[in-house]
Amino acid sequence: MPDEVYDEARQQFSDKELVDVAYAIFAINAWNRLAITFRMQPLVAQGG
Amino acid sequence: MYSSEATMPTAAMPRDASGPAQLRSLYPRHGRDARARGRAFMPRSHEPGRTREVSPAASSDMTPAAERAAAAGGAAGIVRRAATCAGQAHHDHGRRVSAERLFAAASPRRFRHGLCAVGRDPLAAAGPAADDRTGRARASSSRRAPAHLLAENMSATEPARILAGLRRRRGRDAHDLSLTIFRKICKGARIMTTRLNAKAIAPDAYNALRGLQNYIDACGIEKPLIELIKVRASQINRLRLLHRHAHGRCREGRRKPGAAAPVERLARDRSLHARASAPRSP
Repeated sequence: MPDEVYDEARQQFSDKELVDVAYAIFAINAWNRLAITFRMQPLVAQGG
Repeated sequence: MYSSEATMPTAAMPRDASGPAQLRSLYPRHGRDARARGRAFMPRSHEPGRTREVSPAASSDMTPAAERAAAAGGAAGIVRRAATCAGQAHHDHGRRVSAERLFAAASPRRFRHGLCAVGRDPLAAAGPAADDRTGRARASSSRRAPAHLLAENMSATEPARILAGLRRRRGRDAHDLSLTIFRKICKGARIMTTRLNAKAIAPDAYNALRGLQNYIDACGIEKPLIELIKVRASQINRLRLLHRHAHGRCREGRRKPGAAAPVERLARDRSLHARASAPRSP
């Protein structure tokens, strides 16, 4: 993560928001890892 | 099971099949159809060309049709007969029989099942695949494993294999229904099956992640922004099913007007996909 990108993000988000965004990114990546590996079905495909 | 040509379904239906009476005439070996063709399926010992050469006297016993076949030439005659017969499997006493009826007659239950019915004969019978089939191959193929055995062993990869076989054999007489089932298989070949239920196997880890997600959903970041983050992070990680993923997000977002639009636009932006396929960001 380059400094200029981080600084730009700092201007947009508060400390807590930044952490939350980081966790959001982490979480979706974790879900994706899980879903891709085990070929989990999206809810759309299940009609749910 | 489709390792060799001989095991593939052919025009010849199983001899011991105990179907309804009206189905008998669909068997090209027997009944009026066979007689009308001048005993096309005579035993090999009566094979015209060979008999005439070995014993000229025996030729007087041959039927006129057999003599005509002999004139056409031995082996070539057999090949032509097989092809002819394959075509006639679609006809019942001169009337055209729909592939639908053939399927239904073969096994009503499996006809409904669609996929399983493909293991049956009509599609194979329709194709010109019999052109290169000898009498010997026909005999062995009539003893092939019944379709229901194929069907019950159907796995996730089976549609793709059937599709490959179907592509080879689909011929000029292929009926509309075969196309329907063909499409059904095409669709089936793309079906993705879940490998493991991660939630059931390790519920604690799953619930921990779920807890994190619950925190994120409630942490105060606007819902549309969270969806944007999901879509963008997935793009960067080259998630292939993104559009479907995003579609679900959009549908979810429709309850709140305006929330879905940016997500959908982002998901459909091809340039973003192009950028996402660049080397991973740190």
